[in-house]
Amino acid sequence: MSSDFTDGDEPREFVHDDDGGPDPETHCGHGRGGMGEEVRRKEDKRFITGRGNYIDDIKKPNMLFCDIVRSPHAHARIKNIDKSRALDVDGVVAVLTAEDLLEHDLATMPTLMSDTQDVLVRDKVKFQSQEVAAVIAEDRYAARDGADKVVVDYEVLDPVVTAEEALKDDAPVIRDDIEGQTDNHCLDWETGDKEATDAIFEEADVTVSEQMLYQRLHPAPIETCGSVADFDPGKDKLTVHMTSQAPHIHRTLFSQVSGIPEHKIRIVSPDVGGGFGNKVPIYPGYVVSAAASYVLERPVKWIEERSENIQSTGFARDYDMTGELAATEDGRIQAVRTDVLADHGAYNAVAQPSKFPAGFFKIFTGSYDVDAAYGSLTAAYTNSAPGGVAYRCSFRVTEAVYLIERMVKVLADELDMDPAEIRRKNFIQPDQFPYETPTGWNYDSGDYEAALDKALEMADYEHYREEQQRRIENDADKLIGIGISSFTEVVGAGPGKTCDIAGVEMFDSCDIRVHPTGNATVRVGVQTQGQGHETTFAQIVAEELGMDVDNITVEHGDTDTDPYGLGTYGSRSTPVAGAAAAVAARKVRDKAKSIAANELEAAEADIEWDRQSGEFHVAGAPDRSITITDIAASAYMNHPASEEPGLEAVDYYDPPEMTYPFGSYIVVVEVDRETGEVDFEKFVAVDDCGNRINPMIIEGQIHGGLAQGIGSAMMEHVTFDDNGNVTGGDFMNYLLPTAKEIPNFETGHTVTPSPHHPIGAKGVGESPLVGSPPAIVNAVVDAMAHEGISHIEMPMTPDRVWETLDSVGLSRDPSDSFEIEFGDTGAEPADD
Amino acid sequence: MKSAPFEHHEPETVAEAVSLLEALDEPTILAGGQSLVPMLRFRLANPDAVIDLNRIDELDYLEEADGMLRIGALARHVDIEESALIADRYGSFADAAPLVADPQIRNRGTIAGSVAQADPKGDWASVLLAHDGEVVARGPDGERVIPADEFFLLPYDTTLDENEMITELRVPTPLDREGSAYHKLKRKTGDYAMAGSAVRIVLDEEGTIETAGIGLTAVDITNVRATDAEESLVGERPSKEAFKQAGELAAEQSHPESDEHGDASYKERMVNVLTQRALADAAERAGLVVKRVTA
Amino acid sequence: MSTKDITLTVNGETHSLTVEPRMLLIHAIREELDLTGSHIGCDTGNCGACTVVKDGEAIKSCLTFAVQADGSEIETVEGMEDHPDADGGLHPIQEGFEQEHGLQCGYCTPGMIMAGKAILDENPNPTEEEIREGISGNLCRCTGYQNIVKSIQYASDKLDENGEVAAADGGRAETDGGFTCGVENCCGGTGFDHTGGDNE
Repeated sequence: MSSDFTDGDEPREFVHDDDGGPDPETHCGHGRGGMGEEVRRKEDKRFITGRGNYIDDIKKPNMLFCDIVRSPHAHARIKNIDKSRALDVDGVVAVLTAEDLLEHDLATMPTLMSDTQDVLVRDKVKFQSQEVAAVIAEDRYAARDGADKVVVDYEVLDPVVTAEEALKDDAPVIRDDIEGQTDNHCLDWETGDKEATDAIFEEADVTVSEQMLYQRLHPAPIETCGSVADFDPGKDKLTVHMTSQAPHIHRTLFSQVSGIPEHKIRIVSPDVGGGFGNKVPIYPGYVVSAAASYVLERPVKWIEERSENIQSTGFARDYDMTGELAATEDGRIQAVRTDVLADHGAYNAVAQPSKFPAGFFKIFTGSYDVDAAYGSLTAAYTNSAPGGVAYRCSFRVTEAVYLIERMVKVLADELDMDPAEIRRKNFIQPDQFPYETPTGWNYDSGDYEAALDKALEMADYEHYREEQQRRIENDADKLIGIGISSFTEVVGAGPGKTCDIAGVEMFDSCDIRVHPTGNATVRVGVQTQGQGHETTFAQIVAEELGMDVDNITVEHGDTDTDPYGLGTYGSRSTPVAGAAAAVAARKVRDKAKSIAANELEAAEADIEWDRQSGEFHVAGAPDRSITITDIAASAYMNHPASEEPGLEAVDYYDPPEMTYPFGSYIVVVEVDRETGEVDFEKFVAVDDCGNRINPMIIEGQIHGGLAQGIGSAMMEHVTFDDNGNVTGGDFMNYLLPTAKEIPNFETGHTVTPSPHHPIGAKGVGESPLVGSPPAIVNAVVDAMAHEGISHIEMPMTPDRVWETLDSVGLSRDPSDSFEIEFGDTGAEPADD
Repeated sequence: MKSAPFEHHEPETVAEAVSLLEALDEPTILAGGQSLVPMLRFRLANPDAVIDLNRIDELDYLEEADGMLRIGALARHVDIEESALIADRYGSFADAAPLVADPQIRNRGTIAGSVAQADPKGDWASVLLAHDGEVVARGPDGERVIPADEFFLLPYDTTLDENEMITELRVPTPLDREGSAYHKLKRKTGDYAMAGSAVRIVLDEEGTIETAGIGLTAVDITNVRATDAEESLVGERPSKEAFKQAGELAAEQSHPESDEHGDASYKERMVNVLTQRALADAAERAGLVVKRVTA
Repeated sequence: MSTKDITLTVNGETHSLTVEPRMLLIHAIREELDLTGSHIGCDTGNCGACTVVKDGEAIKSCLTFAVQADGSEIETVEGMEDHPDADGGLHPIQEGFEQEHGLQCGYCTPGMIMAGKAILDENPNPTEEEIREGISGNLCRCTGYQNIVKSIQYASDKLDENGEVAAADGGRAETDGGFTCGVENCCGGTGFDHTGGDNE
């Protein structure tokens, strides 16, 4: 079994000393760029010199361009499409509609939750900007000119804009294409023990309840989606270069959609300009470009505009949640209850393992040892783009963490307890791991109090509590608020028996080939979008093989050459593919031992590998040693009779369990009582992602996720008007924070290795976006908690904050903040 | 997004530009282009011809002359931002410039273009209104000077004739004991104003306000003057009470709409807050001592 | 369809092109000149991924038509290694991004580098606030900006140092450009400055 550990490879702490830095004694010092070293990224040079190769950089001879005609209406029946004027436009080669795709059996495509989505609208438009027709032309300007001339006759229908409206009896039915569907109900889901939970709530000393909307967000990577499809009629082979976080599963889906055998399809994911879950689903543009290339036998490029990206591709969140806690009067949380109304958009296209219709939302008991929990959810179809993608999120863990971390603050305020103290009181204790939660998760390891204590110290918590009080007493113009979040994440899906995408188990893979001259090519089934895989995976292999990181090249993103894997999302690359890399390296090492034995003329059982030096030597005779470089040469030039030539291994790793990173974030804000503007005074993030492979990359990931957390909490929102028109559908209206809205972050860490992961790592990319929004909201609420405020909805726009301040008499007039002094010179003010 | 095709004309003199305006069928004028280019890309504007002013050197100036600050039609936001003259003497201009969009856009966008665009969320029109500014236009019949008060009609619509172009914006040079300021509230860098207030006050020798100008951003169908607030200030000595009243009157006179960036009632309130803050800064710049009472 | 003949000098090389007036400068650079380092990330002029330096000023090349750049001098990320400050290798700004982990997916990076160059060209010793202001027209979704700010500060220091070295004909040794583990005297490196980092 791949998760077995070979001798000496049990998970152990690689990186842990009193200062939180790498410890020379346990690992660091070999200087080959292994575990824990801040290796500069191998991928950087091409990006900083303009040599990256993103989707729109790909040019093919004879290439055509695709532009898509989109519906201006959210809900409308298509009565007629007139292509004729478009076909007259100079440079236009073809105009495709659903009718044309039907001829090739490509009119629909499966979503990741096995719903059926129109590639181009067959009959009825279900959201604004839905794909209605595609224009293929010699260049992108001509394609747009053609798209402008496609005349579509719509019969406009009443739109259903919110999930609440959607579930009303008289709501127009959006999905009349589904047999037997007579309303907009999409699915129901529940978890936990309702009876036991309700019983605790009946008896509890204290109960608190709060309703909160996790608003619709968009991952909005700076590169939009796109594809270059290139059908080769000579080889009957379709190559699709596409912005994909999961090229292998996309190949399988492409094969299912098109009927082209899978070995005749090659998906290449080139450099990807950010993904964050946006590039997990299949989108109509990819399929249209492939269909057009197949039919026209020319390469076809489709590149999405930003407004198209936000308006038509996978959104995230949109969970309207009610949270409830039952507790004793001294603050012990006994039970958690929640009910969710989810907006899934026009199709059920959430991106999550198929047996988890609400993703991993059932982790809503968080870091706390509670007796019982119950959660229920109803999802509805609305006239909005399909989505529910895991935006830097392990499948709804972001919503769950928001719920519990907000509710703990609500309870703390209700009981007039310090929010740090109430957390401490309820944390699952280190000796309770492995810990089974009331909803069935099996947490691997944790030390929540250590992370919180470190964060409190870094944040100078007591000082800010005093300053907060001082400001209140002085009736100051700016209030201080302090917010805490002590989150637990669940990442690293599989195992395959419970987690699959479209039936394919969620394992991942690594293929290592050590070459005769002692360097190696490593191929993985996951796909980087900025996470630094080319460096991180090289470090894992360097660590496990005693090689220098510079001698290792990591490749990914090409289904023709890389081993099958399920892709990068849900922070699964390190927990799953990282494990595969370590295990594959150990397989290579095992063979290397056999070669070493042959070269050193010793029994294989007597060969030891020294992690520090990276060399193989005879037990008890460190002088009789050989390096991996020499072993590689022998593998090809003097292989032992007992072994095949060569030095390679592949591992398909099916994780035995998920991993559970955690951390504590503390945010101090200053709230302007005159305008409702919020400034960040201090932002501390202490993360524990188990063993740390490259601290520099981890810190970078934390920074990025925290900035997205600030975006989520303060400004991002895909908004709609009453007609279902997207009013937050471009970068003028879907606001991303700039360098001026983002403060400097202070990061720290603790290390609690995962006991079941081959290198004790847990994954980290998503923690900062999962953990920070509740800390930020808690901070702003905290600034007004003394007047009884318990909640503010995200995004916390200045007007929402000001209205809240004003509702409890905390708003302030500027005239209270200045005095004009005429004084002695008052009669004759000084000349300017 | 890609623009529809158009003809590109690059006159080198104002006279040449004006004759193109007359000769061409519904041309569009391109100066900085930082608002126009996205409109062309989204095909919200589909002109057959674009008259690009960027080669008309005679329009590229920022100077004081004949008692006026004169801003040529090609002066960019960055020219205001980096001008020592502006920093020394024109507080509201110095405040507004760095709050416009972002550095790249300020490098290209023009003050006159912003005024001609007449987007009520634009900043410069408010500043111009507060300063009793003027728009100088040139057309086939020669030059016309339009008071800023009479320039703005509707969003994206002004009293400029179809065959006229702006050549200059101008405001009177500061008097003794004059102070001005601009305050703006936006959700993030690069976002348009949720509300903005430009003020200018001039004190007499006793320290009484003898002139007051207040222009508001993003709270009506055009940038507007808060005339009631202005009137309330004239004859008063600057004080927190007078400024508070002016803020309230300015809020009452504004008519913002609710949108995803904020409710109308909040924006009205912010007109009050921003106007008071701008007045306090203006008073300080007019030579008074303003003591800030903060945390 | 009308076209215009224009001349663009990009990274010191002069090109004659025939373009439609509606062609954006970014498309001319990317499609006609095959310089694909500069990117497109939005359609409203907000993201700054297309930032290039035109006649000494940072501009968004998606908000300018190619015809408007006729006769102008344009610098893109591809020219940075040939800049005199690069001294045959990476330009100090590029080096800063690599050393300070100023990029992740890399998509906004060329625009950030050019915005950074414009900042330093005008003000060789910017404060943190000035750097943040200077890159506020460029969106990054990966880094949270903190390391981008440090990257530009790195370049500012390096350019200063180079200036001093040139002036003093010697000066202090450069820090080790290779990887270090983060602990002083651990991996043989000189130690990496953790300003704002763990436990500082």
